[in-house]
Amino acid sequence: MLDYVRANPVRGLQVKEMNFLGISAYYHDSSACLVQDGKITAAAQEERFSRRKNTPDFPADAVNYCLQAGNITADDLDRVVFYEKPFLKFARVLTGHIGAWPFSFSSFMRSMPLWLDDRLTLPLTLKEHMGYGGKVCFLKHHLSHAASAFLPSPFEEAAILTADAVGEWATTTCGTGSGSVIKIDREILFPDSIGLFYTAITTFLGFEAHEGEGKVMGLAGCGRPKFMKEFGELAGIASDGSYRLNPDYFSFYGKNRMYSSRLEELLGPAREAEGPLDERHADIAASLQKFTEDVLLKIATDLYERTRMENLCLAGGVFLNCVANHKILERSGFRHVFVQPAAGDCGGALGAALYGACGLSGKSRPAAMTHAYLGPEFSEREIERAVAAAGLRAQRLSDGELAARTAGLVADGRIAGWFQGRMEFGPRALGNRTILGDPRNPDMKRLLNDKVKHREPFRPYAPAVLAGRANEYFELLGDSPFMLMAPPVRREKSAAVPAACHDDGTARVQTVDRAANPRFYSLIEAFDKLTGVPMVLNTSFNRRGEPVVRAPAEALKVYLETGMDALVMGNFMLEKKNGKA
Amino acid sequence: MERLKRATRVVFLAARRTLVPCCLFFAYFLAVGAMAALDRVFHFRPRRGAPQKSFWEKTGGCPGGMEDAAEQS
Repeated sequence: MLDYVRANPVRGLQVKEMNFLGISAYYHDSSACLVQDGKITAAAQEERFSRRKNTPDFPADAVNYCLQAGNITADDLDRVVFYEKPFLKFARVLTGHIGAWPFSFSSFMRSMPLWLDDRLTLPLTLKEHMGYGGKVCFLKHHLSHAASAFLPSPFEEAAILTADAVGEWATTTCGTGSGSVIKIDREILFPDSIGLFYTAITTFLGFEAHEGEGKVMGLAGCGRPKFMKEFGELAGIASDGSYRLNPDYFSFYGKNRMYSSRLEELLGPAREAEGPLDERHADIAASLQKFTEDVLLKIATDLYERTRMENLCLAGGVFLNCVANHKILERSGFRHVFVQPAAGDCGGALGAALYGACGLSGKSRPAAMTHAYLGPEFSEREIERAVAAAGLRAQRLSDGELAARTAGLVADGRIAGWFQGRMEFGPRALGNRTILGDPRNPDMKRLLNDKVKHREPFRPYAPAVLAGRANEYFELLGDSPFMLMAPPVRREKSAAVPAACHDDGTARVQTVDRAANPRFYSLIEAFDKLTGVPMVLNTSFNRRGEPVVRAPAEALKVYLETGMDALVMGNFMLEKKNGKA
Repeated sequence: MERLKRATRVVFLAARRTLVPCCLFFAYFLAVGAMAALDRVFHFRPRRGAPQKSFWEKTGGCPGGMEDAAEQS
């Protein structure tokens, strides 16, 4: 029997302008999203306000921002939609404690007060934090992901695949969407989870859970999949891609680490956090990446064969894996793939709000999501005030001068901060809270690392390329506006943009469209005029371990405290002379 | 009156600070422990990693729409 989930109007409800607030919280990447009259008005992650990366706290500031952006108060909200069902999740957590008894004692004592205080009493929490006393709806976690993937996609009909660590019980689901109706028909349940599998090996490699997965994806490009036989031991995979983890190697039940000692017998000793990285670690990462790609590709291919649809929508933290996404697009049979830019849990808020809007107000689906600029923006005055407060002076430039001057600086090998318009929603910086570099400079990765980012040397930097010119440099099928595809770099072009190429010959590409971000487009166009290369390096505007900057003061702080050479905020430019601001 | 209120609140907070961990302690060792014992005797969750034809589960017949979503209000 199908899990038939239909977004239909509730009888008797008047169709009027309605406000739906989606919230995701209490696991990681808390966020809020406001949908008004079927349109996405605002969305933001709480970490950008609290400055605590991946914070799981209630997104009080993000909610406030959304209400302000929508010019409403909490009283004007028709519904708050939470991105998962807390009681179902609580049951799963409790089962975990039972499974690990008595070793789960300390985590039980730590987590239960949190559950009792606010997670199981969300309506009271909403009342306390935002004075909202109206109705609250709860969607299943993976339905929120499915809604975030399908409802803002450009497709009238599509297959839907979601995968993350775990929601309530489901960890991977698939189904279809048509109009504003979503059907989820299959799922894989906890503790079998490709997301947890990836996270467990990530922690085995000495990186942090929910933070280090992207690093492992980068590390994978430097290794070879020599451990595939050993990885075959870790999970059974059916021909349709469904899988079952071998519980002998993992411990997801309340213990201090996510893997058992048997995993160390199989793969060798685990790496200490910040410990030295060697070839074995890179090979384990490469094997993990290949294993994950194989599983996802099999699932997607099976989904294609069952549905014979042309379009596929993806969401869930696993689909932040841009290397796997591109392989799905290349090989699964689907012709078009839409990946929700906020594919992780923060996007659950967007899915919940959209599902509520389509379901309750009877509004048709929103226009296709062509950009992710849904966060706060700052006026010229606010920027001027922040610059003055920092004791600095900025030069005001016209739009044309701004693009040409910034492009010139970047072409000279300098590193520039680029702070424009509304902040991006989701983990990627897509041209509004961005640090720019020259992709032609073979030393640029090292410069960016030494002067600003202080990242691990094996991690790649992404190119932002003019949409119409991407194919000259990359074997990209379609567009990649959200930096969620990693196609191979064309062999004959890789020498022209060495800083944009990863060790495995791929690049995490962002295609920039003039309509979606005219100012960023003009900048790259100006860089192209100067150099003949239609792309710049684009990395998120933050320092290692910090969230991406939100406000001008935060951007100025990074500018002043790192080796960044210039900062462009709105039409204002600040430049350091001899390394001094 | 105000003093009494304040004193009552202090007593309440102190009691809560002691009572909640105590309750959780007993809940863990008695209730969760009993369930863990049953789980180990009856093996409610036997599962291995051996390959099968498919590991997909069909989703249960949960009705659609926001009515299903409205768990609390």
